[in-house]
Amino acid sequence: MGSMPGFEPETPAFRGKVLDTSANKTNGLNRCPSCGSTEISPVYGTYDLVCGHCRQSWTGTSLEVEQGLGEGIHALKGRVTASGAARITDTSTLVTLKCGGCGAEVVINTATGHQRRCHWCRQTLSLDAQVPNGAVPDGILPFYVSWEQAVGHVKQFLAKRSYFASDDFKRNFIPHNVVGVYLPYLVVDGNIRARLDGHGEILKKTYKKLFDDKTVYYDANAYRVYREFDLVVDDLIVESSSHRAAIDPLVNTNNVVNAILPFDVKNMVAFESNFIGEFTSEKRDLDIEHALERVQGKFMTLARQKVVEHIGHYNRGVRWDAEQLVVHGTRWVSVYLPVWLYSHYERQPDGKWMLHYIAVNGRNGQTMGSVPFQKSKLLGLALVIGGSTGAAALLLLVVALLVAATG
Amino acid sequence: MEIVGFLVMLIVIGPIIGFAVYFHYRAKYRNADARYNFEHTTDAVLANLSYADDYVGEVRGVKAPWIAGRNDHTPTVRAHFVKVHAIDVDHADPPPLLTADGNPA
Ligand SMILES: [Zn+2]
Ligand SMILES: [Zn+2]
Repeated sequence: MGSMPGFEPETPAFRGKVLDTSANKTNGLNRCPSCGSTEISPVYGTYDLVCGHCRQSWTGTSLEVEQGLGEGIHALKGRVTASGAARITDTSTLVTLKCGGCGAEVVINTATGHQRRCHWCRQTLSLDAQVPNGAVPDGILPFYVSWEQAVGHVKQFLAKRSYFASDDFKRNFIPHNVVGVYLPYLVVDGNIRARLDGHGEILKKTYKKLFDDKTVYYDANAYRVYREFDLVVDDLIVESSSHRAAIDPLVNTNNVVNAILPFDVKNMVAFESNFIGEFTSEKRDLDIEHALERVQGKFMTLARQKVVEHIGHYNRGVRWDAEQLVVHGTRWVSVYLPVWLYSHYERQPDGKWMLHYIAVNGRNGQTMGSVPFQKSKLLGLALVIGGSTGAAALLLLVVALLVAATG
Repeated sequence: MEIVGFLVMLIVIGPIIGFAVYFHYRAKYRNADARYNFEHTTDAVLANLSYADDYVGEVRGVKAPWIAGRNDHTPTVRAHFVKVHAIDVDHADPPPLLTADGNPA
């Protein structure tokens, strides 16, 4: 087992390690290192922050480098939890901060933001250190795709989907409503061993039988197949808001937000609310326990995907009958990822509302969306095409039969 | 007459084409199947592979081009028997992995 810098040696009584990502942070006044002002904002498209008072700028801390997140996954034993992914023990969204400037108590509503101006001394109060309601992640990946670019991506996406789009959607499309939001995710590393058992077949020959030139018959050799291996998984990304994690295309379109993953999470910086700037954010409300089953299922899928290149000679395929995982170690980090969202409510025939999203990855511009369409218009086209093919064939059939009868 | 059979087929195919047009556009607009294909983009490294391929017999004269129940191309669909030992959670000793029929390896 390799050693990981900064970690206590493992003991039998160990119940899980915590990676403290808010060691040097406090809540309240986050001052410019140069002039002490709290007027700090992100520099768009960079990992930098800039002071609005003296224009001094500096770069955020890389979480990957600072916490060694890319290292030692093969040696992970037990669960390592970054402090921003800790269990949520306080479900209230309100956090009270004491202003370090004048002593006033200021309430921040973490459902909508991480900063608020002190109403007495006008300084900005920031929520940077983790509080037990899940509002402060370990890391954040700042927006790189600009609003103009995001609107361009959305328009391009819609240009290919305009003919059948519902009138209500087309009438109410307002590019201005493309908004940037930081959504909460968990990034998981895993040290796993997987065992797969099944059967595979290798083709010996194909042939046809006498008096039947249509049916093909196959002879094959059958094998019992066993594969067992270690799997080191780096940066698997899963939703950590119950709202976003509820992916069900029958009742919502969260799947299109899921589809713009992945993000370059290797580049995330240690969270500071100054990075959020003008954007809104959604609070994490799922604990690791809630994501566990989803993540284990994804580990299993990864094992099945990775083994494909080791069963290639089974040209009639493999049927896996059993799959088993030993999850030796995991590491969990919470992060805010930048997403541009356009949303539209569609009233469905049954009276229920469906919220359609068009989502743009705020790092690479990858776009996916759901557009409500006019069912009657599309059905009409389908009927015309299907019906005319059938009708033309019927007409030709009648002609052919007539020709045959009179011929 | 070949031509009659062909035209009768076209009459049947008409509605099928209609359905295909409808589902093609519905998929294009709604993207209900879109998802994050994490199994292709997540960095996962396989190592220390143990393997066995034991000949069990010959399959003769079957009409299917693939093994029955083939699932090596559908990694998101779980196999018949699934077991997860999450020792990152309970910190137990690693258990023995079982064979496909549930016996110790
Ligand atoms: Zn300054
Ligand atoms: Zn104050």
